[in-house]
Amino acid sequence: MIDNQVLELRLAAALGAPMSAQQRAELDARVFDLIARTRPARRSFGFRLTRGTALAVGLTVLLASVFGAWGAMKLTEAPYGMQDAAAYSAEIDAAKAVTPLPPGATWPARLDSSPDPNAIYAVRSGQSLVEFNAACIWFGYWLDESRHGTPTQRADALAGVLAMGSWTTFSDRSINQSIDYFASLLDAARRGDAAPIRQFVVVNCAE
Amino acid sequence: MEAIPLPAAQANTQEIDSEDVAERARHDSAAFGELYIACRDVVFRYLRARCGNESDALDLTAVTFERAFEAIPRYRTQGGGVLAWLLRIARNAAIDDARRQRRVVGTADDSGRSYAKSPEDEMLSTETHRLVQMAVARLPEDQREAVGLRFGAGLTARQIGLVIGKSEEATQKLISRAIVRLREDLNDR
Repeated sequence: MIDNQVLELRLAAALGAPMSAQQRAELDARVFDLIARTRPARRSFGFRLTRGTALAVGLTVLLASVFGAWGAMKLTEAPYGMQDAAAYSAEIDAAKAVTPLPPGATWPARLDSSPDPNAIYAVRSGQSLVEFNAACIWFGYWLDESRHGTPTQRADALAGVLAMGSWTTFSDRSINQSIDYFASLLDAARRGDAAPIRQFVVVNCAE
Repeated sequence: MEAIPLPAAQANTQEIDSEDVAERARHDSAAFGELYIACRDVVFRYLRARCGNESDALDLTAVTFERAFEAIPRYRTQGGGVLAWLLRIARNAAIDDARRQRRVVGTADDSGRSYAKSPEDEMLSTETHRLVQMAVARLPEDQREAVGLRFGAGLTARQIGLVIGKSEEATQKLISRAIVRLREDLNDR
């Protein structure tokens, strides 16, 4: 005979068991794909965002300025000073040369565009542009390999993602105040939680 | 107005203000993603207990959030808050699905057909879990729903009442009757 207390414990264990990682990945893919498809009509970055997403949104705004304005950021603070277009362009080329990408990946064409010759740019904004683009590519690669890769491919993808933590843009708080948020994404990758990373990619990396 | 607190997505995350995130999600898909991450497991566990089937529960969880995403611009704070609202959408999705499939949800027989699982799930699931799940699947629908919300979603009787539209007392009686029935069922086997 089982008593009520034992039965309730068994019910909690049997019915409260979490979904598997595979189930979560399938569900995340379906729901985040839906969000991504409808994102342009809904996307809105008001001033009411708080807590966790504030960091994400802060990064999004930074990315939007980087991607959207093609580096012609008007920074209120430039801790490393300013530079002209030629130096900015050279900084991008130098960053591309040393920033790793996943196997088979290539840099987006926008990184080959010529900057506005009449503008001035914050020193390291070109490097940030390259590293943000690379982060999108690495996170997308990690998401794919997490679902479809072999154990070796998954391990390689994770190593590539974790290596981003040492990049200037994601470790130097003076040029990126969202590094804690970025660090939380690396933690998510470390524990195999795709949802925050998928959310980052959906919000920040869709063309 | 009582709002059911949202579960933290991870043990170390801050508790999310359910109505704040719901309000933001009305206009901001990123905030909807935050809401989804916080609630997906609760919704899934409720649906799994209600349907008695892992794959149907997964599909219905996706349907729930698809419907919620469509409806969230019209969301207004109401009894139980946004989690109760999501669980009501999940409940309606399960009812629609059962109607469409012309079958009663969760009528598992002892062969375990309705609790069809992947080989991985089967290995992970203990025999005790399986027996309990089967017994839950044999409950009448209203009792199964209350048990799913209590032990799958982890709600209190008061919170369950907000989801299913019953008083706390009536909900508690429903759960008590289910517990008695489950004890009898499991002791007979």
